[in-house]
Amino acid sequence: MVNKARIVIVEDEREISRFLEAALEAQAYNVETVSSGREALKLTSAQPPDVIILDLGLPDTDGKEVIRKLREWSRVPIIVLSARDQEQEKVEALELGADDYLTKPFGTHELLARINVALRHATRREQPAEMTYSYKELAIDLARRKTILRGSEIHLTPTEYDLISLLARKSGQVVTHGELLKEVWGRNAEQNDHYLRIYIQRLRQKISDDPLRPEYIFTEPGIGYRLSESK
Amino acid sequence: MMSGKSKQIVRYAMAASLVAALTFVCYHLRPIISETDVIMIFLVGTVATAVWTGRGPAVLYSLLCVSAFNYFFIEPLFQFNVYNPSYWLTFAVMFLASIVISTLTTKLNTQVQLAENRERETHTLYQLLTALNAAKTTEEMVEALSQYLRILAGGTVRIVLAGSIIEIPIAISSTSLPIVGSQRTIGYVEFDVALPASGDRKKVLETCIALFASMMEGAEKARQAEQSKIWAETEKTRNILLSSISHDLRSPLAAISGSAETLLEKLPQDPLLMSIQQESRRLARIVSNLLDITRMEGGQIRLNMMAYDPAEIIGSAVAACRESLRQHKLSLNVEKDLPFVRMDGLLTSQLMQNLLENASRHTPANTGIELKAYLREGSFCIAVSDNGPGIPAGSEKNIFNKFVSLPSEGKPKGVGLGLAICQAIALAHQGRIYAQNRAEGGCRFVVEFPQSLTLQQAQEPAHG
Repeated sequence: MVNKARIVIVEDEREISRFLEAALEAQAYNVETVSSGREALKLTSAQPPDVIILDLGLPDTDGKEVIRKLREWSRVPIIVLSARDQEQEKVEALELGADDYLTKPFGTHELLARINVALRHATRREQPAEMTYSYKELAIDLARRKTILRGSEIHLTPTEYDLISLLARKSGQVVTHGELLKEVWGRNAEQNDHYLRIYIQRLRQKISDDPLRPEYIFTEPGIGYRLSESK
Repeated sequence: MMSGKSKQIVRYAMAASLVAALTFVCYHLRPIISETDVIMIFLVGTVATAVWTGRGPAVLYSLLCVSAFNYFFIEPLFQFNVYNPSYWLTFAVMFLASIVISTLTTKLNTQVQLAENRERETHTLYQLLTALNAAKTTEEMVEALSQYLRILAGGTVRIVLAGSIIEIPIAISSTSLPIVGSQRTIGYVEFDVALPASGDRKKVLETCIALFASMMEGAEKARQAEQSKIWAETEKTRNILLSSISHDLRSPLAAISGSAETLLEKLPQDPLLMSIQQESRRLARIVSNLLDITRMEGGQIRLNMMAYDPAEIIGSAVAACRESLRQHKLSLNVEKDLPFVRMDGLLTSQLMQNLLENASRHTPANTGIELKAYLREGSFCIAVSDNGPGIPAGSEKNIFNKFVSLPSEGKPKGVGLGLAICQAIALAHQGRIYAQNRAEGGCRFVVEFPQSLTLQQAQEPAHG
């Protein structure tokens, strides 16, 4: 397996970074580890990696600060590692521009899946030609604003379409409540999470997705929603 | 000892004798003193009578002295009729003055008496209060009370206190008084003398006893407060300890399970590696649970309340436990068109996961587990039922306590935190959780959220 992608791990706990290195190197990734936010910024500005895995609990700087600085000049995918008791931190990190998150303890399968999604998104950004989403029986034509279920077009209201297209553009990655509300309803709508639920409920009905056993739209309680990755 | 009645007779006799004595003296001093002086001397006598003997004898004194003045000092002497009718006015004025003086004096006298009594009572109560305050044990307090009651009532007293639980039947007789606290009667005092049916003395006794009762209650409250403070301190120390140990364990455990998982890629199905992976995961879960419960009990839990479609939270919980429910048949029975419910989605999902995992751990493989979600009287409820052995009778409540774990066959015993976390989450939402055995076998865990969290059926947003 040849996998040239270069991954930077920002993690101060040696036990964790050591096994992350082993797991990623086993997949033939090119791995470098740093243990502080300062080093991370220095290393990425010298030679931008393909993915950054960032622990939110760093000794020198707040992980969120690293994201903020990185996002000033780079769109490199960032996957955040956090503890279970840092729900709010996660949301903030995502809204600052992190691409996805993993809650410790996580399995390597989960980690590798997230890295793959992130890498695919990064490539897709460079080829804007790819403007369709498709998974199982659902397809979305992002250029012509069409949603197709089992081969026939379904009618979505503009708001419903805005929602699903936003999720589709970041398919496989979580989109926070805040991002969805801001993008679809505008800057001042962030308190109206109630609306968001109503529209998600209707969307699910229209694409016949059962919230109890979802196939397309997954709820991440307290964080946001995730649409299955486009295949 | 003289009875009240004979005392009163003596007082009347004293008033009468004073009139006799003053008449005698004045009669013999007649050549020197005038009639006006006699009147003044009699009036001074009025004051003395009023001060020493009280109202009734003073009235008698007034009558007698007017009569004596008429009889012995006014012409014709030794007769009750008078030559000069203007003397009748003198008599009337003299009688009236005497009555007024005696009335005022007795009133003043009563006031002084009352003030003195009050001062004595206050002093006694103060001394009792000091003695009760100084007492360190219940026995010393009882001793102080009985000492003062003895002084006040005369004779011996017996103080009977109810135990903290047992209600004693109290026969209120003429020789006993109840000790009444703010909540309940805490005992009674028995005297060996008859108590006055009413009046100041009885009031003083009652006040002493009330003081004792409130001091007893105060002492009891202080004892309880002290106890709960000690308990809270212990709990806090324990939580800090648990939390710091858990933090230190978390990273190495994550590394062990992660490393085992990575090695399993190279050596699939290696039994030792598989066991390392499974056990380290189990330990990691225990550590997370420990951290969760200490965080929740430490009051550091801040709910992130949002409106959710209950179905989506159930969906996320079920997806998260797919692995642990693999050997069971899960049926979801969710009421159609449930309204949105405000809750902390992550914690509620965790609550359901814990209940589902608990059910799978305590029931045999291939049995069914049912998750039901419904509204009852407007409150959102979740019920998880299983077909396992059920809960041993009497354990329905204490299974929610920390570190209480029931044995489950063929599986490692849990640490007993899952249900404690469920309870903490339910309580944080002001809801409740309870467990019950089902008539048809197995048990059921029910979580009820408060009705106020159920939202009205969503109104249409303004635009499409």
